[in-house]
Amino acid sequence: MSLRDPGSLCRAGPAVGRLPPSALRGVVVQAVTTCQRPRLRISGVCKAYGGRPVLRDVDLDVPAGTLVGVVGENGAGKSTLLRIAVGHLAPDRGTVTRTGPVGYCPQRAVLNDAFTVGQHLRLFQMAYRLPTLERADELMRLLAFTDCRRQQVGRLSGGTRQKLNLLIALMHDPQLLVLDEPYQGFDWDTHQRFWTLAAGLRDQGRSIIVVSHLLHDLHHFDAIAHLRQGRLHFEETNR
Amino acid sequence: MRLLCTAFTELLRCTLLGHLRNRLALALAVAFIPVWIAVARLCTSDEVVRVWLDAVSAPVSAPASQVGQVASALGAVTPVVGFITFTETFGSQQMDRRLLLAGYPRLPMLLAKLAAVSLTAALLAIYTAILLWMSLPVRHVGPLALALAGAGLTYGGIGLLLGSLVRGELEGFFLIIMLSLVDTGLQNPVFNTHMDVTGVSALPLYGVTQLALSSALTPHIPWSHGLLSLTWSTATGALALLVLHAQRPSRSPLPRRAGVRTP
Repeated sequence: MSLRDPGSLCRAGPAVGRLPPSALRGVVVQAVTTCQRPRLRISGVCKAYGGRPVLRDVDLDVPAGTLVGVVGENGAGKSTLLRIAVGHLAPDRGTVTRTGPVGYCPQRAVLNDAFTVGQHLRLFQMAYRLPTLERADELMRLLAFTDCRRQQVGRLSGGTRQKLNLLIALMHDPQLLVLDEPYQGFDWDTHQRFWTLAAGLRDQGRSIIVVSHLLHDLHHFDAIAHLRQGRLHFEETNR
Repeated sequence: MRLLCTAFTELLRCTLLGHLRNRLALALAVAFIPVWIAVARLCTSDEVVRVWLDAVSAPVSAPASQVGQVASALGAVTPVVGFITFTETFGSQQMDRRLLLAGYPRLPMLLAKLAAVSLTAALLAIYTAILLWMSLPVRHVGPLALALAGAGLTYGGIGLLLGSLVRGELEGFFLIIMLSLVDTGLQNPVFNTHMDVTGVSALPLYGVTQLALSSALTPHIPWSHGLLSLTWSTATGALALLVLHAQRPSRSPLPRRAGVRTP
């Protein structure tokens, strides 16, 4: 399989090549120029909960400089797929290969309610071994919550908690971003700023995979992977 | 090495500041302990009771209110430390996991949790020993404080353990309160003057109860029973750390290959 083959950008077992080549031509050219192999490669992944299959032989490649959307009904297995992609969950079968640092934004904000925003940043600065919090400050300004630094997370609104949840995934400027409905609770302006940020990161060569439910967001994606009955089906986008 | 030290001190600082922001825990620590000692003082008569203490191998005569206050102090410190530790561990599980996956060093994280429990237990033990010293003629206040610290450490370890194991907050609170009630209730000399209930010596607070009562009411200081409490504290703390270690993931090396190949 070669990245020069548009159908190989997103592979889905029997669905390989189902994505119309025209939908991905631009992306593939960009991918070929920035990376020789995908930042994330999911091959033949299967996962079942209590005998109920959630993912069936799922294949997905996310090359550099690509923004891929994963859509599907509630309970279709989108979050499961993303958790397997970042290594939080082991697949029953199949392989996941990642290259470069990963930033993962879980669907539900994973924070410590007893700590302040500033304490979160300091702890993750140490975890990521960052010399400064310059990038985190920049993201705080972009997401418009610089005045919350001293506030206890348990007292923040849902939207601000989600901003911090997203910021933690982005603050070390990872090569691969795996974002599970990252804009839940965002106001419209922040929602728009998120997409500007995502597009900017994609243009800088980052690989981004986003779970989305919103129809009006679909045009942001280079490729859309629809999860239906445990299998990925690839759809054309307007980009 | 410097990173490990900073990681330890930063997480310890955050955890202790988090305890201070937990208003219910703070209220319990500041108000419940003196209230519970005062209740024992007011509701128990000054009649002299003879209590058998294994630690001195002899019966000890003391006013029931004094014996009751020492027992109540132990009964107040244990659920408070257990509650504080459980709340922190239960609430930080997911965040700890995220920090470790992001690359936070594991050993400083585990040590910071243990240090936070120890400092909380020590602080509450000193506070409770001062309250008892003000309320009754304590013979040896230092060993009494150590006994209270041992009780706090033991239930702090249990709180750490339950915080990692149970699925609901209510289950954890219930287990800590129930265990503490059974433990202190069976060893309360006002109810069990002969201390002859089978298996009482196997309870987590047996050593500290013996050390606390002897230190407060007799000229003897049974250090061996203090060591027994240290064994319990070490065992619960070590078990809790083992569970925390096993449950928290290792940092995923990057690049990484996960799972198994499709046949």
